[in-house]
Amino acid sequence: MKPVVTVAKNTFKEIIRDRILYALIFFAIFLVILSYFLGQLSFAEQERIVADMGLMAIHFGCCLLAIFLGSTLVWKEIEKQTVLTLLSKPLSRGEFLIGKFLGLSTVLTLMNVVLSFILYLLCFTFPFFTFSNFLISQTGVLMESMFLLAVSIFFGVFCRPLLATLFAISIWMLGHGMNDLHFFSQKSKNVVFKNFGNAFSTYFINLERFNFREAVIYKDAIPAAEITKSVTLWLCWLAVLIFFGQRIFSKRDFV
Amino acid sequence: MGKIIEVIDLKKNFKTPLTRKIVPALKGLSFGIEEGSIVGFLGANGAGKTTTLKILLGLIKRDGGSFKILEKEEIGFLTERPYFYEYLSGFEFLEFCAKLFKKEPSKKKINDLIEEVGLTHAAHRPLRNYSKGMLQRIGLAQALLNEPKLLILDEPMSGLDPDGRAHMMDLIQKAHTNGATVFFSTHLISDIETFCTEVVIIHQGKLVIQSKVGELLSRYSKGFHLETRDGQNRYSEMTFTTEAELQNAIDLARKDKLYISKVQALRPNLQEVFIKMKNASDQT
Repeated sequence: MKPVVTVAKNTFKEIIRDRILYALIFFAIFLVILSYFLGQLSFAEQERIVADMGLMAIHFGCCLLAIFLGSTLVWKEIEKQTVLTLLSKPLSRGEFLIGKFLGLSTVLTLMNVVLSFILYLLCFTFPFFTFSNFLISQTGVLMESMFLLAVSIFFGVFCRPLLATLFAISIWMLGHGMNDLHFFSQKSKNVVFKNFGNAFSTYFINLERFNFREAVIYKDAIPAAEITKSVTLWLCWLAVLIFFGQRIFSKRDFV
Repeated sequence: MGKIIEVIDLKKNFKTPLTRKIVPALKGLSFGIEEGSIVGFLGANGAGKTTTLKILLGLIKRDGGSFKILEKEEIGFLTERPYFYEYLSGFEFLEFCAKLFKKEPSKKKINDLIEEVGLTHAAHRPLRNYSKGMLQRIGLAQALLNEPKLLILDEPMSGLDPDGRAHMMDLIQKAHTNGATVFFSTHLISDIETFCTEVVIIHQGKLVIQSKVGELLSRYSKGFHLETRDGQNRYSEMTFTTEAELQNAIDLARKDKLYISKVQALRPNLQEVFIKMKNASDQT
């Protein structure tokens, strides 16, 4: 466990010095603050618009950070050959990969907490706003960004960063389209599409499962069973992605 | 003393990126390294030196053959191009590497190593500001962190100025004196002549020869040179191909009461031997 923590700490240090992180944080903060002003332009439901846009800004910021940094995380180590020094030490490739994942996950958590705190300061007086729903919603954002991080690390193990980024973005978009795919496939008269849509939306990850923003805005109750199912699914997907990422990584030659 | 590295029939093929054509890098390489020796791993560029070292360290998977080596906990390794985390200082980098070992080296050990490699003044400076020589030295320091029984160095002198080379050689010698077996790849023959006990020469992925440096040079001896003077200071010189001929000539000179002013074994340098062996290997 010690080598994993060591790699995670070093990854955290590395990313904290990365300019992309600050660009994305400023972008997200800008959107959160912008949401406040855009809300004022509306005739009604100004507060809901502020909260919704703020939540969306944090969601975008965290997910983009996970994708952009995750896809270059392993590639940079291989390209700069720092991986040779590390893996010649008593550190397995699996430990290295998990350490990298945990390091960037810590940065994501930190970013999520900072941005959520700013949004909380803007929204906590709103009548519909409850802390518990807000907390669950932001945990959902964190889970989604960590899933995307695992996806981009998985692709980053064997693809160049551009491809890894494209694949991760595609999965992000597909993951959010699962409800629609399910809906339209059920309505379709084409049996092939119906079955395909049904199977795909059942087995592919549905990222809308981690989207609790509406519960914050409309003060809906979030069923515990729903949360449990989402967390279980999330854990399974993370385990699968990290396991296969590690399997592929362990077969790589560092020429 | 036993063998610290044993390589048997090691094979590795690479594939070209587009056509997937197989390019053999190692074609059944076998050799062994005795504990306590300093062994030079010599070969032209592309001979398979770095590939062999990377296979030994698990950085490249082999396609065939086998090898025995110590646990990573007991090995120190310096890569050919020591790129490290630029944002870390020399001290932070060594501290980071130290934490990867089960038996973590102390901070005192890190400071001692920094002093030993002559980087005390730059210990807290980011690595991005280090020169090539300084990076090579901090690289050697990280390889020595765990007091390794086996030190594997990939082209440790490449790109260093004469001062840097001399310093690097001193550090490697010191590590050897402290008990490490040193195995280092190079294409610089002078490095091997200077301080290796043994040499492993490979060419196009195959072993050409493994031998003690002295024995190898004797085997390719060009003969012996004898210079004599008589009582009237007349000078003569002769060259012999065998030791027996030389002995006969010395006996005769003594009999004739000639003064023997010089006896010299005409040894080739390692470069000449290497080129001869490489050419012979090409022909076979």
